[in-house]
Amino acid sequence: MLLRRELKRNLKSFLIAALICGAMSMYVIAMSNKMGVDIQQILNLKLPPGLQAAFGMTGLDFNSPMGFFGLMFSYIYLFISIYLAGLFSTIVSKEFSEKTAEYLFSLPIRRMNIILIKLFVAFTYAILTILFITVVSLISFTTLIKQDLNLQPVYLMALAWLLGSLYFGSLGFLLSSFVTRTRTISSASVGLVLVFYLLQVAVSMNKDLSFLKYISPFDWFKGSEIVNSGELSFTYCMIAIGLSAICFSIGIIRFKKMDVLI
Amino acid sequence: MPPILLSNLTKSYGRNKAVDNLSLTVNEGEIYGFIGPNGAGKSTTIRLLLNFLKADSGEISVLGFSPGKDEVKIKQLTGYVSSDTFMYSDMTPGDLFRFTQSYHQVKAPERIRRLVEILDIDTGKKFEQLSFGNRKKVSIACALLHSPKLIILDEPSNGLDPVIRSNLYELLKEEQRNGAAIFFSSHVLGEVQKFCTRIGLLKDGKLIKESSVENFTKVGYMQVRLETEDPIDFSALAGVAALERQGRNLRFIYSGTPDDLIRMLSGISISSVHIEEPELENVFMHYFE
Repeated sequence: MLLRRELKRNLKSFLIAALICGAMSMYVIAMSNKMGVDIQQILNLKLPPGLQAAFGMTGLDFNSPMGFFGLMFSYIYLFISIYLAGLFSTIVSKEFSEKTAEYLFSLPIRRMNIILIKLFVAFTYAILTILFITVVSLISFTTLIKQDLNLQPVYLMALAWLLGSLYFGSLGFLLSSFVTRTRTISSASVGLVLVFYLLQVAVSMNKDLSFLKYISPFDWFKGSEIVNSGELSFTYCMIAIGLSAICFSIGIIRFKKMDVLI
Repeated sequence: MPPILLSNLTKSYGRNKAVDNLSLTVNEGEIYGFIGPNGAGKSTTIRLLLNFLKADSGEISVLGFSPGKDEVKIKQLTGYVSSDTFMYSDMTPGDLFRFTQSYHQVKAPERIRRLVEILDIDTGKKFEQLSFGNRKKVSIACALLHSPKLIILDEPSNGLDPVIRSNLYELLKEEQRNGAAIFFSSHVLGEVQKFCTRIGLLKDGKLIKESSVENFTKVGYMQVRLETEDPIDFSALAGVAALERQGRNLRFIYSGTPDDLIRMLSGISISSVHIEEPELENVFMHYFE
């Protein structure tokens, strides 16, 4: 019953996020031939390298549809990260801020099970969102682009979105185990995503800040690197998985031991 | 094994001790009234019983189980009504009954129908559209629908009209006759006195008095009401407390023997006098004034 309730409760936000990202992806692919050429012309007018880096344009061939899609990678990544940070940060804490925790925890179900069911729902929607965007992108590439294309970067981008945005989800979840007020925590989680995004922009524009590269998940996975190399950094994948696992574990332990005070 | 057994229980919030070395027992088939002013530690004690809070020290046994280790077993056998009635606002009472039932693994349409009837629950509206009193009724029905062996109620009569309040007490008495123990926190002292078999009085997290309802008011105090035209200052007399004066009518608590009282009153011109055991409220006020 809780599983069904949580799926229903979070369905609307999933549909909004998936449809916006899917539509964005389809539009970008449909327009890639025309807009890609326009952007390439702008680049040819010698756009400063710092600015190119800030917009994630470095190293991408905009004459190719996949190159243009590589540019949109970071914007979709940002949007999914905001959605998942918000989702994971409120999935359990909502019971505390809406004061329903006492009722839920008075039912004969282990607190651990409640937390795991809620996390399962959030993971399900995270995977479904990325799956939806991936399927829309693949269908759009095969139906709208009349060229033979290597679609492997799309799969890698999907994996990068999943690992990177789940890390933001885990951070949101961890933060919510310290501050359970939903409004505060969802704003803080979304703010954190934007701070990391701006940090990535700053690192891209200033080589002196390259030591900060390990901090922002937006630096771990870049559209240009995925399109050009056809692979994801194994190290960053492991960092993303490891840090997410740590954040989720600490969050679960904290929620399990948390005093229910409403 | 008694349904509730607490020994040397302590819980602090920072430096503030909410429950301080509390020991008490609630026996089978008993209705235990747990009274005390706001902040005395009543709700904290209840939350410790249900593992909502973790105790700093001491032992808790609920129906023979430890809340930390066997919380599911305890919750299967317990019904809980919270003082703050918050349930899922987008659900109707019917949805909430189904949701609650599914975790208790019972299907009791007859019992739910009866609870709805006795408590006069409006089942057509969503929880968020219900008044506080109606929300309370839904919360009570959810707590009772699985026929629990232990019923824990935190201020259950708040927001209920007198008819429903009376029905609730009848319902709880019926549960008691069927073998359930009831642990009941309330500010409505008259109801505690009428309804409970034993009372515990909590102050600053400590149990300062515990006895049967009959013995609770036998504290060596008498409640005196008298009518006099004598302008004597009663508050100056030894043993007189909680003096209330309304024209010729006086009311006070007297501590001392009946002989002393009669001796004290013998020199005063009195039209009428009533000497009786104090009500629970007077005893309560005595401890907290």
